[in-house]
Amino acid sequence: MRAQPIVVGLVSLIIITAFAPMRSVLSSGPDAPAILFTVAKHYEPLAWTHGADRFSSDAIIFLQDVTGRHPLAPNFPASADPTVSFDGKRVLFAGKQKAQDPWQIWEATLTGDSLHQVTSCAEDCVRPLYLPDDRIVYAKKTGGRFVMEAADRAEGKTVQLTYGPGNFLPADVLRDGRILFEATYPFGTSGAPELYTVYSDGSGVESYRCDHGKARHSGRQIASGDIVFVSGSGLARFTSSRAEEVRISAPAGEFPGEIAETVSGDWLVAWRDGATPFQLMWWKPGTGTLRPAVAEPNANAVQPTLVVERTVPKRHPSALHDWPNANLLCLNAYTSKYKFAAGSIHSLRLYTRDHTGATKLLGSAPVERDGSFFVQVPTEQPLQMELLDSSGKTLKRQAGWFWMRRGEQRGCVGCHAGPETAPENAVPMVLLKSTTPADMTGAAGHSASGGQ
Amino acid sequence: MQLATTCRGKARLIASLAPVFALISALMLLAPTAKPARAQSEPENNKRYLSPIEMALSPDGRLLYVVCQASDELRVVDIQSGKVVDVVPVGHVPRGIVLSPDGRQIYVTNAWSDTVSVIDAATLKVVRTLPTGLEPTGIVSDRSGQTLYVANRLSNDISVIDVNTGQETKRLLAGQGASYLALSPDGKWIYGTHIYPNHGAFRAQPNSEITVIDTARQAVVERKRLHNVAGVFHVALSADGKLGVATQLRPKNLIPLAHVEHGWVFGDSLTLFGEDVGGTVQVPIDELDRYFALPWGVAITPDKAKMFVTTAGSENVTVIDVRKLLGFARTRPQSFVNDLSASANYVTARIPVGHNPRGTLLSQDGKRLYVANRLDDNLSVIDTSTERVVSTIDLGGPRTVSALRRGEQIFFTANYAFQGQFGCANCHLDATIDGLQWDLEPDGFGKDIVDNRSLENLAGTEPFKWNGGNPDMPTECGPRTEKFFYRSQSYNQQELTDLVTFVYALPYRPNRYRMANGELTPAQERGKAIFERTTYKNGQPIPQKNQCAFCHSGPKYTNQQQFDVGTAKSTDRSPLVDVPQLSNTVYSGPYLHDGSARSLEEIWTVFNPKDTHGVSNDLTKDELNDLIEYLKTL
Repeated sequence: MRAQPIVVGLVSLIIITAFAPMRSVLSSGPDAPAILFTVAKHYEPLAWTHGADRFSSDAIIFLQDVTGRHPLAPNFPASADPTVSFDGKRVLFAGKQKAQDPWQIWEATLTGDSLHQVTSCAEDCVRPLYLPDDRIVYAKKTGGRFVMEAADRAEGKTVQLTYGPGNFLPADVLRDGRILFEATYPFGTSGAPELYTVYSDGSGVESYRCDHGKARHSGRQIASGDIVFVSGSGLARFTSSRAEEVRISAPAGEFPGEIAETVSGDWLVAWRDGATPFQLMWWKPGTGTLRPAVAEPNANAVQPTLVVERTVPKRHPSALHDWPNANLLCLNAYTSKYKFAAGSIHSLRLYTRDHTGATKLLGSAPVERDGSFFVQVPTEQPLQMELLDSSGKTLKRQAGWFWMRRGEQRGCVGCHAGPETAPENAVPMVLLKSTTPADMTGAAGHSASGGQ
Repeated sequence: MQLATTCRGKARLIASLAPVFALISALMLLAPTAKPARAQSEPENNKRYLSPIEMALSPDGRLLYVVCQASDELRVVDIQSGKVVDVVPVGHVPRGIVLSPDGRQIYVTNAWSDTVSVIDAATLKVVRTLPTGLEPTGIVSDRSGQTLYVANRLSNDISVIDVNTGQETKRLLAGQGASYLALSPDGKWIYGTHIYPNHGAFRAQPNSEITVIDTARQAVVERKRLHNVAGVFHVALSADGKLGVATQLRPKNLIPLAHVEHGWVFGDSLTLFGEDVGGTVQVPIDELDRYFALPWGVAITPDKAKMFVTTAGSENVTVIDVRKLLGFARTRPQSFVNDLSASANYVTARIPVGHNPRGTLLSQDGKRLYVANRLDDNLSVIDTSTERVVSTIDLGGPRTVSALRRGEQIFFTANYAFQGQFGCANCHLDATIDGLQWDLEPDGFGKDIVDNRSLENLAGTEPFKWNGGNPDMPTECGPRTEKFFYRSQSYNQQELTDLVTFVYALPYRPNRYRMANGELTPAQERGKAIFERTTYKNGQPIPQKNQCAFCHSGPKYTNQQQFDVGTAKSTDRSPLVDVPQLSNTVYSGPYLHDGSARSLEEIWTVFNPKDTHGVSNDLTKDELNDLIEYLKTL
């Protein structure tokens, strides 16, 4: 992985002791743990899709346990996005020390005896999540839009994870080590938000499932391994065994975002019925009633987070090579939801786009009779593929964009095959011709000679 | 088979001592940070682990006979009390079991003794020992009880044994690594599977078969082809005989291992066959984000309502609704074996069990399923109605788990790979090989195709990898495995140490080609002279680097260096290959670094035109045969 030197990234630990009265965080048992949540007059969960704040400037994180309710960072005019460390002792959050400051990432101990600033971003840094091995991931606003960045706190290095157009917001870190995040589908469009995954080195980006359609966001993984998220105004889940979302039958009303699950399987959810503010409610999935947990008469209570220990996700061992470019192998472009006619795909074009949004052709390459192609592509910039027939007519052009990290080697089963499709075991014809990828880096002119 | 019989004594001795030497060597070789805590973790009183692997039920349903692979025993369990009531010593590394139709005889295959122990069920004494082919594994009796069929893993065949005379009357050609057998309920057919793929063209899709034997003719009448399958394990029939099922692996060895997600490395699946499905239908049991590695044992309830599959790498039993499965298969005329969402239509439960679950056995009424947790020395008892483990039967193994045992558990689990897709034992089936060639990612796509190497008695054969790039086993199994195979956080230091301890302790399997008295046959003597020769037939000296015994020197027939022997392909980045050890090379085919030689003979007849890999072009066919006969003894 190529780590970037910190310019506006991590700051040295600034320890502020006694920022709040020392306290013990008490729970009355695993089924009633202490909770964190954010209270704000206004809450727009999808404001990030156009680079805007999700919370009004009065947002405050509260810690609620059996002793009562306390602001997590009482001296801060604004705080939001709490997430608890794997050992259940610390909290990362987005906060403003002064009202006019940009959002920064901060970390506090739950006992209230330590608080330090983690980032010093020129623009906002929000939605932090813990990664294994003392790393974190968050969204950093750059040029008015959010990109995702991971930071190694021990080494003080950061690495940008997203290189597509549009805005990106971390949602959760899955137990298999992937980062679940939100972006519009396709990337960089005004389409509905969708859930995606990426490894913590920025490689392997893909949508979690391919049954796109409804606005999906605020996904969290629960104990079963399912991802529970907002779909439209209701809740749905992705299970390991199915390629499509499964609707969750929940009480009527609107659910704006993340759920928190207790050991016994109860969920803490933000909910409202009508135009009233969101409140936190307890719900046992499968039942038809909600029980009040946190009520704020004139503000929204959202982002429920349990103060509990949890399993550390698997660390992703980055296998990026020390190469300037990346290699992409498609096993069979005919393996696709688009049902291309046999023998119809002749070549591939690859595009990128510059900072103005203008599209630029990088090159073209043949597609073999079995649908395989092998190309070398530039890295850390938006990429878009287009399949052509033998007359040069477009068969299908990717609606959005993707990217590859420097030194990444990636294989695809097909073109929009869906994550449910495993590859067939066969030597791709393109590798029988040559193990050198077609140069699509844009460094040299390249024309398709046809692969068949 | 005369040779194999006379060589057994010595082979047994070597096999029994090899693990001790190997372990000592391995511990000496481990890095200073890799110190197994032997004193605290060795089994008490040097008790041997049991490693239960297969089971059979007494005709009255009261007793379970459990084959214990590591302790060379049959343990007898009273089902009512859940206690071990008797222990019967059998041969070395027992692996299969069947009862005679009248229940009076218990037959146990002894894989490393090449025998079947015949046990009197009344006295629980071994009353006879019958010879078989090499490494007997699965066994069935015909309906009359007059004939036994034994699948021989190393001789790739099925012995037909007359029970009355104790003599083998026929040897039927089966698939590579013939291993498991099942008798049809009407007694007319026997279905056999094999764990290694059949030989095919280089880099062709692997193929396996279900070998069908007509018991009336004692002949193979059909070979059901299993396309793109390598590694077929247990096979079972429904009570009505209309549905057969075999557990299997679908490796993805022909595509570069760029990542793991989306079933990129292995597909865990079943093949259905029989009247219910017509020909053969392959069905997946994995999911999109979770894999159920190494499907091994399988049982169908008497009412054909459910199918239970042990997944040896995932510590699970997968439960399948047979009606839903058949219904789904009928709606999908095209293959759906690569559809990871298919299993949602017929898998109804995943039941957690112990380490490395292998054999399964249903009670006669189908209400209980017994699962042999091989690396826990116990049996899980599952209520087939509630699909829950209701009890665990302790077979009486050591209470402590040694470093070696922990290493074995790590070797056989798939839990370290991304989403649990595979483990060491996927490619090293039963700690051997898989007979496949893989396209690993670090070198680029389509480059440096590599054959799977044997793990037997590795100490003193370093470095590892075909290019000699890994100096020691912790390097081989540690960061390299995590980064380029598992693609997920894997072993901590202790786990890596335990794993390395286990791998280094893997012994030689008995070599059946050596004479018991240590002498060589005349052909082997002639072959030895060719192997050690320093001159051409015309008397001219052979350059030292072209002499077999120069590179293949030392106790394991490797000088542990890398040479260009002219076997590199255009896709290899370097012509240099690490000199492989030759001990037990007879069991490690195919050959050469990329597995392009399907037999020892092809190494020289096809891939040595310029005498760069030893001098062979001045040899007659008979002389080459002699050389190969000698190599088989190493």
